[in-house]
Amino acid sequence: MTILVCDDDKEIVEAVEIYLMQEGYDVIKAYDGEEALAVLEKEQVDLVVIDVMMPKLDGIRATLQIRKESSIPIIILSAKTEDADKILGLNVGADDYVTKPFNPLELVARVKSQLRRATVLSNGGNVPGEEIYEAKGLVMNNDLKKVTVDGEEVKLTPIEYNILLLLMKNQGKVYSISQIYENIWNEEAIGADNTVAVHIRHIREKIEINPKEPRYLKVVWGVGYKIEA
Amino acid sequence: MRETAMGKKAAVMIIHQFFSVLMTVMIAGMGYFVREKVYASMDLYGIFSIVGMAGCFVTLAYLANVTGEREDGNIHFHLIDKLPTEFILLMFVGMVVMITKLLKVMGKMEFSFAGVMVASGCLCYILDLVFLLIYLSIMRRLKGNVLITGSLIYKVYDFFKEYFSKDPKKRFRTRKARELSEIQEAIEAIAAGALETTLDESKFHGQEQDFAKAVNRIRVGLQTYAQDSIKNERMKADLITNVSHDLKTPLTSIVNYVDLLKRVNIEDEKAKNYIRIIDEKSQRLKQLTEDLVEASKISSGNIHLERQKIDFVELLYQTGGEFNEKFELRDLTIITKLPHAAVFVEADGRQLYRAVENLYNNAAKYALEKTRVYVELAVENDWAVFTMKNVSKNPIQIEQGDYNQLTERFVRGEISRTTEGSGLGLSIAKNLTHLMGGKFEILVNGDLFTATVSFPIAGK
Repeated sequence: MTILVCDDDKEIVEAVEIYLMQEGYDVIKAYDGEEALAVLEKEQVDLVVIDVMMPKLDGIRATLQIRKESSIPIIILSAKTEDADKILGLNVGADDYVTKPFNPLELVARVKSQLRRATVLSNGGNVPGEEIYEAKGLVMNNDLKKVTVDGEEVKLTPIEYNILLLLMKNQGKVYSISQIYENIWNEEAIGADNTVAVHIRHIREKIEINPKEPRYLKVVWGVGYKIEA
Repeated sequence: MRETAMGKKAAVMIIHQFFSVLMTVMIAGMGYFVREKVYASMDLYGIFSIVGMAGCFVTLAYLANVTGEREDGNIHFHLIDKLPTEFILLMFVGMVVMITKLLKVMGKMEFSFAGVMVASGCLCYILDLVFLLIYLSIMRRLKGNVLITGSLIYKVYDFFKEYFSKDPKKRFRTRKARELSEIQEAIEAIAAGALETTLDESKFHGQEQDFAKAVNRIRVGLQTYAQDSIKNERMKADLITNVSHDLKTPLTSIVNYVDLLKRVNIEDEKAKNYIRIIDEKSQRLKQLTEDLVEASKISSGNIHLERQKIDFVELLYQTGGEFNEKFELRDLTIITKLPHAAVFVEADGRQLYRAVENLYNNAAKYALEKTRVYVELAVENDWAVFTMKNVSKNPIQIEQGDYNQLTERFVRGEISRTTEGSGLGLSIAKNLTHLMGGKFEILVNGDLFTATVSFPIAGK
């Protein structure tokens, strides 16, 4: 698998290269947006990691250019942490957004996740007739009691599984702590405690790359929890 | 432009006079024919009199339309318009009475045909001048909306209205007193923060006008200052954001290469220890740059709030779930005392979580190991009051009684700066709470640290 890494800071490109090579990927380096586009013309690339603020052609414009011709996964790297910047990046067609300074292991995890997702999705591959719930890369097969994130299996405890199943069956709906308690434990929630919240955090730690910025299991503060539809 | 407009008006007035003289002379001629019982040229005179009448009305309509108009769109008043409306009306009535008397007198006189023509023409010319004067003045008053307010009766009424007014400030006032009280009102409004209050200097006289001018200058100065200070706060926030962007790029390399260094097989224990220290400090630097941007954004109010009705109790359970292992790690026990029913407040859930999160983080970092942390939500006089109490690990060293210091940026209540944290947590929590309309309080009693966040309860 070949990954194009593009950033105007040479040292960052090299560090990312080392991490990705350790995971067995081939890396092509570029130092501005135009160079990145030139590489994509010539080479077969499976994923792009691209910085936003670069000379000549910035990452946002480069992403727009790439999206005109190709649907390969793009991960944007940026020092900008504002929500508006993230939304812009994702709106122009990026698949993920990682803010600097990033944890290298997190970046590697996101690269793996995007690549798995690209291959799993292209393989298609679910047996028809099975009870399956999907939200982006998160898939629950209720016949096999199996949960996968971007094709990789995740082990959940029975309670965690039931909570996630409840939220997956009703994507977009917000469940309060007591509603979840009543649904899972089948008893009235009198004097609820942190139990449900702790289970939710454990689920997040298992299915999310960065549990503090969840992609699937979102916290609606002061209201409850939901799976983003 | 104005000259041509004036010239046009004058020309139309002369045309109007021509038409009115034509009309009058023709009618007078017809009258003469009737009296002398000569009907030879009646039709011709009739047609001319109708033409004269039509010309009269058309020119009058035009004059009414343009009189007093200026390019700036305002109505311009002449000296005559300053006279009370009653006076103008009286003039009009007087003129009508005079015309009837004159006509009666003239009716008894014997004239030749030429005499009738000349006399009626001259008379009409003079009367038409007076009529135009009155007519145009009334038109200007109507257009400028002062027909009523410009009358003597209205002024008397206005005077008595003020005289009997319930507002003591308005009673028995001389011009000076009225102008002074207007200036006083403006000063009070400016002092209360209404920086757009401007006095119309042309409405004041003498010394009061000087006052009004000075008040206006003070207002402009204050407004400029206020705008500058908002702009400066924004610029400061932008500067901090830009600087921290620039810091993040080299920091990314430091974090990455330290991590790579950790994977290199190094035997030397000293070197390993050095790497560990660099690793810790670079993580701290990372946290600090992130908090710095947040703190400056929040303190300049440069943050988007999505307020809605949220349940404070639910939020605290959610927060508790996020933190329980962090507390267990330091052997801290959370004692939670929350109402059984929901307590609704109007706030941005994510930002309220950030404020509360900072307090929990504060406890997780600075509380003494193996102690209890008390978390409580109470309803007091329509306010939801959240309290967090914990025992500090190190003595909290701030000046006697001045707990607000703790919420200043970069102040930490202990001398040792070895523990993690940027010193921005409480400042962020306080500013976020204030932005959402809540109250934030810190109390320190010996080693006991108490933080309170309260919000008005939202209606069901």
